[in-house]
Amino acid sequence: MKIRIYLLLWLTVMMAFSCDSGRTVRKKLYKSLNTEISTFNFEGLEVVICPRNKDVVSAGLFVRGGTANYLQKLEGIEHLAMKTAVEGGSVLYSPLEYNQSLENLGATVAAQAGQDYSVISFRCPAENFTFAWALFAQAILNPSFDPDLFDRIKNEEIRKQINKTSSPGVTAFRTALEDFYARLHYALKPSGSPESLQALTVTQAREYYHALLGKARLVLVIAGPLDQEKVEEHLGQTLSDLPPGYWKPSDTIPVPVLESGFVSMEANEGEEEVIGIFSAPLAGSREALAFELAMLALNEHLDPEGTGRTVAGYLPWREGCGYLRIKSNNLAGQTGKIVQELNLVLEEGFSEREIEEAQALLHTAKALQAETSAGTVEMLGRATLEGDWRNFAILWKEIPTLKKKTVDAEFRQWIRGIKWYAFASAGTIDPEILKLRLK
Amino acid sequence: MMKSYLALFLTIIIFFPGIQAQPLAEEDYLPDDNDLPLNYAHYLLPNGLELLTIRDSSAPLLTLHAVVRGFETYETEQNDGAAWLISRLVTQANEEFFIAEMVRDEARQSGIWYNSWLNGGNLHIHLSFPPRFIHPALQWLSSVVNGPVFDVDELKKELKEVAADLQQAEEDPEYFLRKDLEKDVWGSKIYGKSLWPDYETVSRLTSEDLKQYRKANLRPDRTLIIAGGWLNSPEVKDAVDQYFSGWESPKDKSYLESEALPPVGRVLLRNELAHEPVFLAGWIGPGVAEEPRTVRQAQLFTYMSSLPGSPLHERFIQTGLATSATLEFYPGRNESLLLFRVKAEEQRAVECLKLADMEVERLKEGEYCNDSLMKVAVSRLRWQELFSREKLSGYVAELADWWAWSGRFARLSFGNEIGFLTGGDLRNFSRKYLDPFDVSSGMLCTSQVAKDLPNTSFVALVEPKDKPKEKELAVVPVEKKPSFAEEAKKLSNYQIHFELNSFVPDKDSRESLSFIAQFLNQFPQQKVYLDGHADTQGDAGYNMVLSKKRSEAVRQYLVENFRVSPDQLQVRGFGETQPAFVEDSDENRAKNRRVEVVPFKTEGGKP
Repeated sequence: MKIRIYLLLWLTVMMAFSCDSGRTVRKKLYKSLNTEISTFNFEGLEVVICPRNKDVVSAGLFVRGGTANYLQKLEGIEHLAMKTAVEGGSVLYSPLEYNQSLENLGATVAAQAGQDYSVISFRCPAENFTFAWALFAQAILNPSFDPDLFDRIKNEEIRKQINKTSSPGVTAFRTALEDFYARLHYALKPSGSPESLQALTVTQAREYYHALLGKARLVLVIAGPLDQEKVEEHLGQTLSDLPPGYWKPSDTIPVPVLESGFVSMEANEGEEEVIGIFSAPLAGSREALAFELAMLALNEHLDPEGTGRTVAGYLPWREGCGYLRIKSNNLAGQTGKIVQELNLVLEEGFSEREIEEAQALLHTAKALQAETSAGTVEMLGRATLEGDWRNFAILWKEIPTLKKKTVDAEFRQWIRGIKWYAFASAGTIDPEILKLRLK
Repeated sequence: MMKSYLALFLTIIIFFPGIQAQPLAEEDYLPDDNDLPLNYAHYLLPNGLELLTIRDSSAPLLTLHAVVRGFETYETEQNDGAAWLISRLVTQANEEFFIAEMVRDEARQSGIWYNSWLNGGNLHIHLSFPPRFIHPALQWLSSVVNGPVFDVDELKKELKEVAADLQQAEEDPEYFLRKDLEKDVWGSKIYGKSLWPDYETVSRLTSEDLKQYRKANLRPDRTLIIAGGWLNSPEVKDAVDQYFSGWESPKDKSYLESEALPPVGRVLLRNELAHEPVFLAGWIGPGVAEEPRTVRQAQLFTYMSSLPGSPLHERFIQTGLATSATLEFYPGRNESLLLFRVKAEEQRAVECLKLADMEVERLKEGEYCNDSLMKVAVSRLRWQELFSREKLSGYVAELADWWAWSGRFARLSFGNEIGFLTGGDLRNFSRKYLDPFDVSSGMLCTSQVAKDLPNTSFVALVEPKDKPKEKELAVVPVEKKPSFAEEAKKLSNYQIHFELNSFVPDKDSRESLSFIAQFLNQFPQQKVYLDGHADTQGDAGYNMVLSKKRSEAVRQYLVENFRVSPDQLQVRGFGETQPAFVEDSDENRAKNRRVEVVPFKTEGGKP
């Protein structure tokens, strides 16, 4: 009798687990994306938790400010300082001991500076979270800033920047962006230039890092098989000692639609290109999502075969921009054709089909990024810094609600002020052909 | 009372299955449906098509991945390259969407990101899209596998791209070296096909060739579709049934029933552009279908050998000799490729390449299998597996390849299985597969460096960069392996000598012992006599015993240190009866205290 009861009990449990109900799963998923993400304040540090049922923990320590945190002469300092801090061990562990211990725990750490924020990212198997996190926290709180290591990392970064600038097309786009954002902090390169990096010293980096790392300026996002209680427990043991820091959010200024214009630039042989840049709505808004869809639809419209010769895109910075890049053996002719197409879209708007396509493709692109815990952390962190982490949770519902009218309106509003850059011999592009038929 | 004990026992068995854990048997490395995790479901459709569904709630995304097993392995000399070209054209025009733009538009309309490629002989078609588009996506996939038309214009366009890709690859001198090496490793097993597609071969093919090849080999009974992500398994099963039930296989034998399974066709190697000196050595390794356990050993061994702290790392990286030194593993159905690759620092190229050549002999040794290193490697591989599984849209491709090679979901239990491997397993693996006498190897270096490398098997010479490209590569013919007769003849030059009254070989005899071992390992069927001799000092009876002991000592030394099979060695003692020199000096007496190696008269034959 007892055996029967045990077996019955066991079978019931197994059936309950293996029951394959898609509807239930779907409901749960929406629930998980909407309500299970939670946020709390840990002694002045904003924390966002995204529970996931995979055995991996990813975290991102987001530092607000980005390139607005420093002046041109210190270009690249945030990237270099954070990289040295996370790779260089701590006052207790040598770089070798630290990196080997992380490796033995299956943990990886990295630092990357950006235009709006920088992020120190961390990933490890869930089973090793306690030890790996303690090691990581210890290093970011008390980094060694070993001068030799700093020099090695600095030289590596300089080499990378030199390689980057020698890639065709990179310099032209950078030059155009620098001009477009002249006098704004977006003109600065987060990874620095070979010259600016060369001038940086380990003392500067150390001082900069310690001034930067305060709770007020940071947002911590964690994704993994964790709940708030567990995260709080870990933070209490590790990050309590972070200084309070200081952060004053800048006022939200509506991005203006710029006057259109034309600049002729020198080009290397074989790298002739026409680049058009125009303002975009403030990131994190519904308008920005509509604008992103418009740029995706425009890209499909202008280059249906996906040749990559004409690219329309969006730089999703807080005060981001839309851009057009045109390359062709017949640069003037092709540019003329593209402008005609822009005029057509301005008049008629995108087709319903183009909008639907863009919506579906954007959904896939975002979902592919959210598949991993590291991707989720990145998206959630960005949404938090842009104003509200819920923007991440509602993203999948929001995309299909953006109708043609909204997308067309965003496109028409911002495309009016294109600043064109012709990287070609003087006279190749007649500015007249670039004029849009604006109502 | 009895019943209560039984109930307790059953409870323990059911709820604590770990208690039963035992080392896995070979068949456990090929899990069946009972071993699938709870969120997996496996179906077999009436037309032979298999479907695996994986429920995963990480993101609102669905992935469909179709894999056709052994798609490339049915090529002949006439349609060589067909599979490769089909893999590039299969997502172009088809009978349902008859121009390429329509195929593309249909995919975009449903947010489908797609790709197709060949790996390890298998054809892969991959789609990711929002879950609500499951029906359009299945319809799209069905049109792609059912009726690609291989339009001549598209074919020409594709061939242009093929030419550009191949030209790019051919600018890397290492490309040629790898090509040669692979030919050497896979050699006779490929039935005369070219291993890497070249433009000339591929451009001979017509649309009709491709259609015929597709019809014969792109068939449901060799195909698995994996659907992963936000899904309901029975719903997906019904939908797959709806769109694929009309897909029929030709009436000939299916892949699993075929008598002779051709080996995997092409192994794609990473192509890191390098003008720096490179050393490559390749062995044929175990196949997933026949030796799943040994494949795990290969994975662990190769991973372990490149870790910091491994002998390979210590000798090449820590010393600054090489920029990279790795042992890589490329699995396949019936066999795999084990590739040893060292990239030298330009300044120390000669030293590094020589050491790499010697390392080929060392890889077989057990020194790589130390327990602490193994522990680290097992943990790291398990974690890598965790990270890899996190991204389901990428993981399904690995799962699909392993299914195609083994017929089962052999990739799934990887994390647990490697924990059951022992140091002994790895030692057996290296002895069996990393045979220094059954290896294809090559070096790539400048002629300046090559001058100082007299003992290499072959050297591809790359002249300075400013010379025209077509003249850059001049391959020196491969030096033939020495014949048995030549090597056997040399044996008489190698004797082992001893101190007075001793049966421990003297230090100067190490070179002889090494050569003898090399000879015996190179010709494992060959047997030899170890003939022991003594000088005339002392009692003749004592000398007889001493000479026999000397032979036995040499036998023991060869077996223990060089893993020569004891069956190859027969010991004899001649005492002082057969002096080689007149003993008129201490020097000559020393020469008579010896062990000579005398091969049996015919190779592998009787004495």
